[in-house]
Amino acid sequence: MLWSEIRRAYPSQWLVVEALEAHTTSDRRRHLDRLAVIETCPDGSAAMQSYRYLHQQYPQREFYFVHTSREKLDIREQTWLGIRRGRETNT
Amino acid sequence: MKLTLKDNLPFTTVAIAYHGAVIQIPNVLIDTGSATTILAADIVASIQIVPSPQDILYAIRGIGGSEVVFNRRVDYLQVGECSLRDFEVEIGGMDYGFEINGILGMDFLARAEAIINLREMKIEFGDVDARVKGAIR
Repeated sequence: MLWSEIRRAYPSQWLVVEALEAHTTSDRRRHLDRLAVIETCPDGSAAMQSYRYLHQQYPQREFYFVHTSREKLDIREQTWLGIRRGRETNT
Repeated sequence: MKLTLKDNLPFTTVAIAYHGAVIQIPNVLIDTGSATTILAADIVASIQIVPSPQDILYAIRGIGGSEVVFNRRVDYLQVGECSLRDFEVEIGGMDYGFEINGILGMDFLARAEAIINLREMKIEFGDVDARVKGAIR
């Protein structure tokens, strides 16, 4: 579905959505071209919890927690190279 | 402010205020390799920092994994004596598989004029807050 279609089908609702097709533009904005609704959620905290669970279960898939009051999804991309942790030490 | 090494990484404690409520957050990594500051959603939920409909989302992607976080302006973020008002932080699940409640990034460290002193294992700051207050007066 398109975001505009999801907004019509789920007005004023917290959702977890999955990006099926997406692209990033040179201004480091992430645009979600085709979406699937995965879950409807009672509030923002619940949506984020569902997102976290799904993201851990399926780390290769692209999930977001979003509210349909937002006319345009405003998703900005940042790169992260991670934390390089040393050996476990007991200090 | 004291630094603690865990697995050879420097951690400290920060205080965050939001809508008048304040909490102390231990186990925050000091990371000059991170442009921004992120705090764990489970911790800041206790002062009612939760996703709201109009939040801007950041998709953080790369070798270290990926994560979607939201952005929130807090009353202040403080480390030791150094407090930065109206500071923007990212809030994320931080489900990285080890105990970490936040990452103090270069946005805070540079503005706070931080000096990371690994000889004495402490972090010191310029008198930023006093200067800001002086500028307002």
